[in-house]
Amino acid sequence: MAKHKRSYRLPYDQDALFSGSEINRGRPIKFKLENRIIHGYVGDTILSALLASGIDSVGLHDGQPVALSENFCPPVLIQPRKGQEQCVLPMDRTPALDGLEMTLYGLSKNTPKPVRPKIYNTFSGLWKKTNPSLDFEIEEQSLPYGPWLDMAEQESFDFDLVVVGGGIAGMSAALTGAKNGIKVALVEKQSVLGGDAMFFGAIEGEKRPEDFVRELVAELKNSPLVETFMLSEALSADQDGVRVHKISVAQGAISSKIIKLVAAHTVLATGVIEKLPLFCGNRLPGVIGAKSAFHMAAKFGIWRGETVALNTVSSAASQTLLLAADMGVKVINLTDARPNPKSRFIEFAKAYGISLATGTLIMSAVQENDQSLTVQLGLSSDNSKPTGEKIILDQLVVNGGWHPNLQLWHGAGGKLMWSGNTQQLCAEGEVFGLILAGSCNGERHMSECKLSGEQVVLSMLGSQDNKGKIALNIANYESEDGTLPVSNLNLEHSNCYLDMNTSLMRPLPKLQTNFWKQLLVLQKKDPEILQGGNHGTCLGDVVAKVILGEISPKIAGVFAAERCGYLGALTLQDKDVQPQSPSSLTPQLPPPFLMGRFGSLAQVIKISLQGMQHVEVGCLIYADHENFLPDAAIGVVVGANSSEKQIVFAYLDKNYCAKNSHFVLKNGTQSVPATPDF
Amino acid sequence: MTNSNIENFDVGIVGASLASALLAGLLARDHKQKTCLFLNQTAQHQLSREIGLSFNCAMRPETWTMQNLALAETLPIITKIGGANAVKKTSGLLMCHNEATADALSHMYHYLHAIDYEIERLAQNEYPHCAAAYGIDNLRLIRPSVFWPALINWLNVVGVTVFDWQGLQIGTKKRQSIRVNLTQQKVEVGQLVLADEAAILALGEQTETGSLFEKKNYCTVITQPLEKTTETLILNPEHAFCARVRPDGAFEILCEGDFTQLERQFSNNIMANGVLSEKKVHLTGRAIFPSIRTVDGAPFAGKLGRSNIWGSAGFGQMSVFFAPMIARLICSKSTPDEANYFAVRGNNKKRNSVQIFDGCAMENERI
Repeated sequence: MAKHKRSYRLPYDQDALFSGSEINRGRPIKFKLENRIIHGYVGDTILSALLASGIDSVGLHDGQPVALSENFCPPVLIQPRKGQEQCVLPMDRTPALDGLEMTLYGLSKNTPKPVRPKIYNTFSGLWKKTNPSLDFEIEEQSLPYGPWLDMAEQESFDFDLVVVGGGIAGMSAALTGAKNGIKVALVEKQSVLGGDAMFFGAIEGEKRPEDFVRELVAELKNSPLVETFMLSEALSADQDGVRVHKISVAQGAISSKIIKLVAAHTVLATGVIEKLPLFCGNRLPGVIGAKSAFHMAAKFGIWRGETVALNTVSSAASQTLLLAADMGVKVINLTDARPNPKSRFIEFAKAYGISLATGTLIMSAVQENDQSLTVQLGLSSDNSKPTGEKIILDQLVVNGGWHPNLQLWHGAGGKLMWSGNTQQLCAEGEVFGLILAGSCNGERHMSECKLSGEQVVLSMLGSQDNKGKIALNIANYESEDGTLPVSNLNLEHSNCYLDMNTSLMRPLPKLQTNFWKQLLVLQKKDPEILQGGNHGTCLGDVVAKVILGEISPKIAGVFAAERCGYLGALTLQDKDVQPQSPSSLTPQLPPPFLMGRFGSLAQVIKISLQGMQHVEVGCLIYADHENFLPDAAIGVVVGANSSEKQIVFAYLDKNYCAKNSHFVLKNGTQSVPATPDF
Repeated sequence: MTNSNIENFDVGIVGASLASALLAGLLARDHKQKTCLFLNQTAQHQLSREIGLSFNCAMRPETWTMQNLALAETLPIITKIGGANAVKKTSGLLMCHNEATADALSHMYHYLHAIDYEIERLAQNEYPHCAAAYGIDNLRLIRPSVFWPALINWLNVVGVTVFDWQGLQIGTKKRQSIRVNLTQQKVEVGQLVLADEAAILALGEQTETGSLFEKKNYCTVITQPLEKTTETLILNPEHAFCARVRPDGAFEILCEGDFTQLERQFSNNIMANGVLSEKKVHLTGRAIFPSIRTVDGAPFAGKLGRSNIWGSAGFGQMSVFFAPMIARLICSKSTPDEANYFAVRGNNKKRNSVQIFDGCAMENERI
């Protein structure tokens, strides 16, 4: 049973990987967000400080809380103070500084706070319980886009090569470029280099990942031709270079700017993204991807609560659980959706005495009043039936496999192709000036990624020095990653999401052909609205849609081309808004759509109205008062002379153009007698 | 491949739209034709290239007569196939910016007023940036997210064979049949129908379309959801602008031109008229696609040349509602009124000799 009060920071152990390498526990800081005081350490990001303070929910979506995470967090508006200018920044990349004051960007002042019983307000001060939510009304306004996405470029720098991604492949590519005498920019989103090497670990015969990373970082430091841009997110890439949002901290103040790194060649070494297993409650606070859980623990020492379970289809994810166990976290169980997985981590888990179940997936997760999770397990072989086993825990770590992070490639017009074997959208063809390297190009291990980074740059430089692919003999022991676990989704519980990103896209309900069921189901959940929130679809959503059979694999690339990534905005263009005067009512030749309507010999003539009348173009003219059906019309008003308001121009059947003709003009409900005016 | 491996059909329909799929089904069900559909299967999952609506800006009374008949006949068919949720009742705002279009709409308004259509002229001071604005009630909007899957199921029930049109080539044209080559298959059809703009664009060069059509680029976008609202449509015949405001506040917009043109039209039609208070709306989907339109703005339905290849285009938002009439036209079972209507809307001399301009997007568009 999970305890009511839980801790969010792991104890410090200098030898442990989950020690919080980025934070200095000897230097506490505090800052204000929406007038709440948040405590953290030097080295925390705003997001990590919030998570460490027990704030792990963004707000409610369809009545269910959605987890605050590095993939889903609102931007913050940093308030001005001495030396600090007002700016809007992403929570996950912005260092937390002592004394900062900030609000949530885009949170309406009128947003109603959640209604809590009076008794809560009366006694909440006594037990000092932290409100675990940012109370962002996701349902009403969703998360706002960061304004930096549309900001103009403030500076531009020229390089020979830009490398996006500071993992093994990216660092190798940058170093290879520098060794060959070209000027390289290395762009890394995080505050440290190394990417996911530590998470995936080494295979037999490889150096330890920490040694791998340390050596490459040391080489980079000694390479004057490589300039590294940390805390910098590449927003887009094209044949001219890369557009980057860079955050800087100087003299106790944070700032950001958009820079353009101009280069003829760009290497994208953007790594892989974790797939989210599909079950109801898969984005509740406390449910976290294995890679996110690893990085939060390794960099910031953050872990939610004291009990954990893991469900995975990838061997690498299991390491996170073992490292947590090393830090004293109680492991409830390790479940693997693959029927008979082989992994050294599974052997380690057995040695740790961790309860292990294979062929098992998560059916659902429900948040309890004390923020703990009740998780229902099921069998992979029959995803419609729960096993009956329920577990209660503080944190559920999940992993549904991987897909290459090709967002920049795709944004640059790169084609995507569905790979059925790996359930991934992979790059197809070429984009002028862009080269893929490392795990986003299908490489799997550190040695492969290093070689890939080197080779793409050598190939770009026209070198013949091709060392070929490294042959790694690992298939005998480590099982391949499994397919994405999908529980038999009960869509009445709509809190199952396709991916961990900002789109909040959910599975489509099954079509009801029965009339009464339609009324019951579809009226409640409009399929169009279920398709997404206010952000563009992400590649992870497309992957899940293909797996669920919502879209055909053949058209996954087409679907992604129109909907994925940041697609820009429509803005009010004042200069285009021109007030137009209404029709001048001057006679023209009859418009083409009137040709032949009142006989082939119809003419435009002046007609005189009996009495001063305002008539509109289009008023129909009839022979008499008897029949006002439009088929009986003999003509129509085509213009009026503004100086003689009783005179209008009509396009009239020739038979009624004689001097002594009389007819009736129908002006709305009024009937106005008229005659030709010669 | 021997002739015995070639599958034969009475009619083959090529298309990417709801109208083409419905046409195939109706030919099979109501006219007992052995029918196959060469469907662009990506269409269902792309951003909308069409908005199925019971309203078209049409300037000719005979087109309005046909539109009303088409609506009355097709609406029950759609709800029978897709259920009550396949069609939604909604209202619309029709506006324009230039004087010539305002005059055209005024003609249309007075005609519609005379036949008791639910349209009202809106006060100029409420829409100061417009040359004219009208409110239309009781519109019927097809919901593709509901109707597409139901239509595909129904095609199966009525016995239509569906092929993916990828790689489709028109092969030998004989007097009685047309060979259609697919990537891995050959099919022979008695009559081939290019049932929408996408089909004519893709295969028109292999037929005798002459100078009937002109190629245009169109842009389609979806915006982020804003405040929840009542579903409505905003139409401007200039630049074929059509915006649908979804209940979640997201806009689905179709417009002639490129993205810059769409953005300008969005400013003029939506933001400037106070339909939306925001100054900036983010997109969640965008695409530019080529299409065709008839040069004279009138609908086209008829044979494209001397062979048994038919075409259908230019019915605008109401194309799906015309499917039963087109089916009768192909099977030579048109009513006398339909026969008269389509006689001057085919690829023949009558079309050129009689001015049948239906569109109201003026040549001298200024915005």
